[in-house]
Formats: sequence, C-alpha cells, structure tokens
Amino acid sequence: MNLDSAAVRVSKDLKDVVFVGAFAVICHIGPYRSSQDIDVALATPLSDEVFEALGYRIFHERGKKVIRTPEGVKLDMFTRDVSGIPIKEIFRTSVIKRIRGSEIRVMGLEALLIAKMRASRPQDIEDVQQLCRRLGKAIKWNVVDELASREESAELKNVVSLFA
Amino acid sequence: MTLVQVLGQRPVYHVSELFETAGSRATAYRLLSKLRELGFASETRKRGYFTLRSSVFQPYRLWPNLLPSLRAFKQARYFGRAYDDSDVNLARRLLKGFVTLDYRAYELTHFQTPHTFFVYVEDAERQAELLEQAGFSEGRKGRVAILPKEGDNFDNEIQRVYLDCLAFGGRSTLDAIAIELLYGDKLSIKGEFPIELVMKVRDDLPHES
Repeated sequence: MNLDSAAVRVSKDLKDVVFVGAFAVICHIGPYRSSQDIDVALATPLSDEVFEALGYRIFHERGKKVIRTPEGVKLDMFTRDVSGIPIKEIFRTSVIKRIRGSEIRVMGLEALLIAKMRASRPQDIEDVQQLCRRLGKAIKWNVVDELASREESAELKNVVSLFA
Repeated sequence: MTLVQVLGQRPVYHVSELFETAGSRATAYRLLSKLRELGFASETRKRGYFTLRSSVFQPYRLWPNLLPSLRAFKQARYFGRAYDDSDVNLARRLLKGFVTLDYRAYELTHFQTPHTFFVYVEDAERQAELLEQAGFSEGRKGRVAILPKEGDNFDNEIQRVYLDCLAFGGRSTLDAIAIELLYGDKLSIKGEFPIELVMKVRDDLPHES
C-alpha cells in the first residue's frame, strides 16, 4: 500500500482536493512517519454514488462511514474546515507538489502549522517542531497573519525563532 | 515535578511560565533542571526556553517505568551514510541488538511508517566502530540510532518497546497506543491516553480494515 500513488489517484479521481494532515507534512519535508491513511479537504462534498462509481469502497465501521480507495487506503474527508481554518482558505493557501511525476495540491505550510498548533496532540507538536526546524525560514508570515489570531501568530514566530 | 503538567502540550515553553506554579524563580529553574536531568525536558538554543516530551504528561506513578528509556535516549548516538532507507537496511545487517521504537513498533502493528532505526546494543563503542567502518558518520540527523541497554524489561519485549514508545512521546505515543490495542494482554504497565487519540489509532489500524 503506497500513499504516494494513492494520493495521485485520489487527486485525479476527485479533482478539487487538497491533501492535509500527516501526508501534507511528508509532502513538505520528505520521508517521515505517518499512519496509512490520507486526510483530504474537499471543495464540494461528494455523494456515496460518486465514490462508488469511481471504484472507491464505502464501509460502516463502528457507526462511522469509512471511505477507502480501490487499493484500500483509508480516506478521511474534511468538507467544512481543518482545525477551524475554512476549506475555502485551505484551498486558497494550498501549494502544488510534484509526487511520482504528477502534481497534487497540498495544504500550505502556514495553514498546516496553524492547524497542527491548534490540534496540539503529541504527534502534532512533533510535526510543528519538525516543520519549523526544516522549513521555518520559508514561512510566509503574511499568510500566517491572515489565517491565525494575533496570539497564535506570535507563538508560531517564537517557535520558529527557536527551531529554524 | 508534576507541576509542569499544568502547562499543557505546546511546541515550546519559557521557564517564566513555571514561576507562579513553582512558587519562585529559583524553584522553577530547579524543576526545569531536574526534568532535563531525567530526560523529559530539553533546552533550546535560546536561554530560558525549553521543550517537553509528551511523556511528561503521563501520570507520575508511571514515571519510574519511563526513566530507563529516557536515560537510554539521552545517550543515543545517531549515524548516517546516505541518509535514506539504505542506511537502515545496512545497519540491520551490521548491528546485533534489541530493536525498538519506530521499526519494532511497525513490525508489531503496521500502524505508522518507520523512520529511524533504534537498536539497543550491549557494547555501544564496538557497534559504533562497526558502523563507521561501513561508512557511517556520527551526527545528529542519522536514521540509525544505537542505545545503551538501560534498565530491565528486556525479557518482556513488547512491554519494553511499549514503554520506549510511551517515553519517547510525540508520534511514538501513537505506536504505544497501537501496541496496547493489539497486545494489551502482554502489558502489565500501561499508559494513559486521551480517548479521542485511542479512537483515532483504533480507526486507523490497518488490521481493522
């Protein structure tokens, strides 16, 4: 099960998508740890029929709807916001990354950092530290200021000053 | 020392945040110094700022079980050659020891892709020489890490890997949860986790599909 090829397929099949979460972290910093699922922001919610027509499988596990690609990769869908950042902003600030010869749309570094700081689970804290260490100097602070509160922006600047 | 738990999980902290809780500046600095000594806290390059391992938020009663792992992590030596998967493949052939964290957790759970090859060895100096003879350089970024054997629990492999994941914190916390979900009956010491994190791991475990 390869996440890169699954992402390329998802991008071609669903079209208006932005990859978020741990897969977005990998797209920004390269090989790193992640679970075997992909988080996706959708511009428009898609019906089950659309997914099924594309060969995706829909299950109900423990009362929750689960969508898997034809290869079995689990997709987690976001249709309203990602950690409080509206989907519209996720799309507006997204970036193009080249994976396996194809272009896919990935959550921008700034939105990714803000979302991870807001989530603040152990894995998010580690991701923020890694992103700041490796890409802190590439952060566009005007984008951070647009998406985050003044306090969040100040905290992120502080973190970057210590890691980048 | 658990006073530090009031801070909540963040990427970085300043010692002044502890002044009030600790009762004085001096006590706050002493507390930070002790946490650094135990391996829970690390200083950053700016004075007064520090990071915390997420394992510091585990209940205090569990701390004694985490200390051997933390002591080993403090003495970890990192090695790299090509700085990719080939380093891990070569190190696997060269090193004899007890594999833990990323790679062992992945073998046990298939939950998170591994990154760094951590291995406990009997003679760190000899194993470091072996790596250097094979073209590895010691540094801070390598994907191969040798750890000195510290503490017990090496007889119960799953328990030891679990405690290492728990102590390491960050993404390894998810490995600990995955191990507990799959091998809970083999664990006599267990951590405490937020229910939403446990649900996330349970939902994402590949064997559940």
